Amino acid sequence: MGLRKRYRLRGVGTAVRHITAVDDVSIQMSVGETVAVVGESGCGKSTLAKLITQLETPDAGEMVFDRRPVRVRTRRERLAFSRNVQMVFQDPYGSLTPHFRVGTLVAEPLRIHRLETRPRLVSRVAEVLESVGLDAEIAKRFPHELSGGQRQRVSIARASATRPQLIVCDEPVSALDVSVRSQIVNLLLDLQRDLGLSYLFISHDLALVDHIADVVCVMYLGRIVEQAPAREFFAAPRHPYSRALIASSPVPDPRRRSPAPAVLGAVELGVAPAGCRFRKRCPLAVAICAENDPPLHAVAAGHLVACHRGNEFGVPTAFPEQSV
Amino acid sequence: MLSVGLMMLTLLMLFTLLTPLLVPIDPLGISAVDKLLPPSLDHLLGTDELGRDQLSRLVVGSGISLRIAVAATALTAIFGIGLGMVSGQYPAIDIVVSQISDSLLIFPGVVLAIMILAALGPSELNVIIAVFVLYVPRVIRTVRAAVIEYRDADFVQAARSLGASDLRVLVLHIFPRAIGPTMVQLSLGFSSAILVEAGLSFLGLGAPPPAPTWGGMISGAREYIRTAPWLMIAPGAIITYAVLSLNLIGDGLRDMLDPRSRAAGQ
Amino acid sequence: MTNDAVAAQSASPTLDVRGLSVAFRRRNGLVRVVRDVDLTLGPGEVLGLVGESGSGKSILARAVLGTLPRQAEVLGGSIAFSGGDLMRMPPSQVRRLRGDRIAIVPQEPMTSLNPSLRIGRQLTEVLEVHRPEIRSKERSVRAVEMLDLVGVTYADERLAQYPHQLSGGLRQRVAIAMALICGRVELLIADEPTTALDVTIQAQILDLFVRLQKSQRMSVLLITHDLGVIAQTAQRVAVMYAGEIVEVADVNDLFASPRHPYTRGLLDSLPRSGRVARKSHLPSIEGSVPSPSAAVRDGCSFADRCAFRIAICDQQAPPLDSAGLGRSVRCHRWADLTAGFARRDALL
Repeated sequence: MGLRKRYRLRGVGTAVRHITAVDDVSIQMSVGETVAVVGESGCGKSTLAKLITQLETPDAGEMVFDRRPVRVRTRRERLAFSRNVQMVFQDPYGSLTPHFRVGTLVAEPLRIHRLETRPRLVSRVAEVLESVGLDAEIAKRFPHELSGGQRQRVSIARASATRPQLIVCDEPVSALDVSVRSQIVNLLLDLQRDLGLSYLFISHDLALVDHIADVVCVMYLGRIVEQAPAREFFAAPRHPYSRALIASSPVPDPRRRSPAPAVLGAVELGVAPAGCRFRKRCPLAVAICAENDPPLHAVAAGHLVACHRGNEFGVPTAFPEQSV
Repeated sequence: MLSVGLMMLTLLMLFTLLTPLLVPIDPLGISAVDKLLPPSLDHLLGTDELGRDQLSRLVVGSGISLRIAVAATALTAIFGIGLGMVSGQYPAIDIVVSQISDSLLIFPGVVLAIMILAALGPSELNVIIAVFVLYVPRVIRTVRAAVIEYRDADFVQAARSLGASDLRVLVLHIFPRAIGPTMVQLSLGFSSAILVEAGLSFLGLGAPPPAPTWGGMISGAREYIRTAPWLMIAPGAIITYAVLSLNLIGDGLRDMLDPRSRAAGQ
Repeated sequence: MTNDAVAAQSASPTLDVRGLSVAFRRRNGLVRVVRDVDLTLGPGEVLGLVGESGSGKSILARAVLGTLPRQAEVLGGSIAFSGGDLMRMPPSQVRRLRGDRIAIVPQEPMTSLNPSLRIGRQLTEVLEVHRPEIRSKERSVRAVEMLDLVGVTYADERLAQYPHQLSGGLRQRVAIAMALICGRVELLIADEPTTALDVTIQAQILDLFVRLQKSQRMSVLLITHDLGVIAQTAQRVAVMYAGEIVEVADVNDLFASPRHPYTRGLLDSLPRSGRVARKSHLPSIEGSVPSPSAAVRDGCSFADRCAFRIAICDQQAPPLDSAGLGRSVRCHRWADLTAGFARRDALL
């Protein structure tokens, strides 16, 4: 609730500046639900992932998990938390300790949380590997001997070994080859169904988000600018930035070539202008956008948008752009 | 290179350990009759100005040298790795540790060792302490650099997100990445330890006489360099040999562990 | 086929690669990373080259540019560029072409722009090398014009900036300006030009590519793994797998009716709303992309991942068959599979 994280930037001879990477972000998730967070580089989505998994400590705000406020001040509290909230990283090459064998990697969460006695560890590791579609034989190998897809399966095996309730997935397939991506997506869908997992799914691939998400949150410069059920989001996006993202995603269909891009310019990192943080790139900006920062407000049930003109675009047919 | 170095070091150790079993060793036995004898079957490396057997002195001296170097390197390894990991991980401790270790690094090596021994007095233990103080900052820096390099690596973040403790992350995930460069530093430190020990003994700051040390033997041989050159040659050669073998090991380790030079070799 | 593409093919091609094979020298022998590739690029055509990691698409581009890594060896073939064979030209002559008539836009301009030189210096340097007749005052004028053309705002101020002061999208625009500044580019090779960029910036850069390609009448070889980018930009598409071209087709034909099982598998695996139910399994290709150093198997290189494999696929390597106007497919079964796919697509 209202998570906030600021980073200190220190340059030579300049005063200390702060960058607010995540600014007053609130997200609710239900059991078995997938919430996707989309946005461009620097929007704060990866920082949000680290805040939620407690890899970083928020400067403000608090989290409630399983009806209890999250506290990780003691080792015991941190263990209890991490057992239930796990993470899968983007880079399957960098996120596995290179000098560990696969068996050791997968056994590690079980050892840390003392979930298995030593004699049963090997068979449990084999079970976990099988659950992610890997042969138990692979336990003897080192990460560099595996393909990208196999490595990502190992990462997912580690994250799911403790039977967590929530897995934060930070771009879990974007580093993989196109022909392997759908295998991993299918695996994530299977695990969700079998284990009742919730996913916080960070991605920039809107087509993929459309396929797997229940709720979509769009982040821009550290703030959520739109949050809606996935169906509604893709049918009727309200925020101009959301619509620009959708319009810019290249559709794999040459008969639907999109017109010239809707938004010009690029994100200026860390410098949110006064008023609405998107207004300098916004094709619809009006006078009020420079004066007031629009609050995130409901425009329909479960559909929140932070735009002064968000109410004007209620009807799906009002958009000229192609949806993905 | 690594295997040649290891072989040479093994030979040196065998020489130190096995020679006493093959020939009578008496490093301290003074004999006015036998003084300054050239190498012969009775005294394979000749005798010095007091008639002491050179071979005996060399063997006992290499025992002292290796003992000091091993002890100093072990101390350096334990404290260097420990402090390096802690200071890489915790910025608050890093400030203190880095300030101290960096300030030690500004002294030229032997000068620092001389200062320490001048303060503590010459003894085998104090030579060990001096060599340790000299080399521990390098190991601290090496380990600390590796910890800082990998502290935010994805695989470390992944381990943390599994719930791994700081200790587990440092020891199991990060430190193994630092073993290579640390071993290189330690093996080079080992060879420097032998050189520094010899240098200190040469200056009379090492293990006090009559203990036969390589440096002390060279120091004593200076007056007889024209009349009895073997007195200088034998300890000089063995110091060169020991340092060469350890540098070969260090360079060999570096080539084996450094990904850049390994890639170039392929 | 579009009229553009037909026109492009009837004229003499800008680039004509024939039977190109490239191998890497490894300790245990040669590893063939590009195998017997034929590729034609007409004047004013945008050819998309699609492939996954290790498919050989980037090595193919580097062979055309004459910038193969040292351990690579050309085993055979020819690369005809406006009449001459790049493979048989002296390196100095190829070097003169590079940056002048053949240009490249790289994936990550942060690594291809020199971080310690100002933008202006880097742009004018290209002119110094290739157009020495232009006087130095005119060079910076030209640099500003070029930056304007690629949509860099405040162009004259940018000349004094360093690459790190620009955003990723601006850097890529500068890289494009550098590629085009000589004004004589016939062949532009873009190797994953938007992979490092955000989608809104990617859309801007792709739009710029298409406009420049038309206004400068150049041929573009667009290398990417992103089928969306191909669909939005290319006129013709070549699909590479394990060092071979497995399918070539007009972009509309390829996306409407892919003929190689690999192409079809790739297209099917993309999540597209309306084609598969939300949260349901996506169709996928079994197995993983073969590593280039793995031994080349007998028969078809895709056979072990192919759902339609039959006995002959393991025995004989399929040839690149002509499969209709401007189309070719490297598959033993493309004819009977095409009929089957057509029936299935009709049901959908």
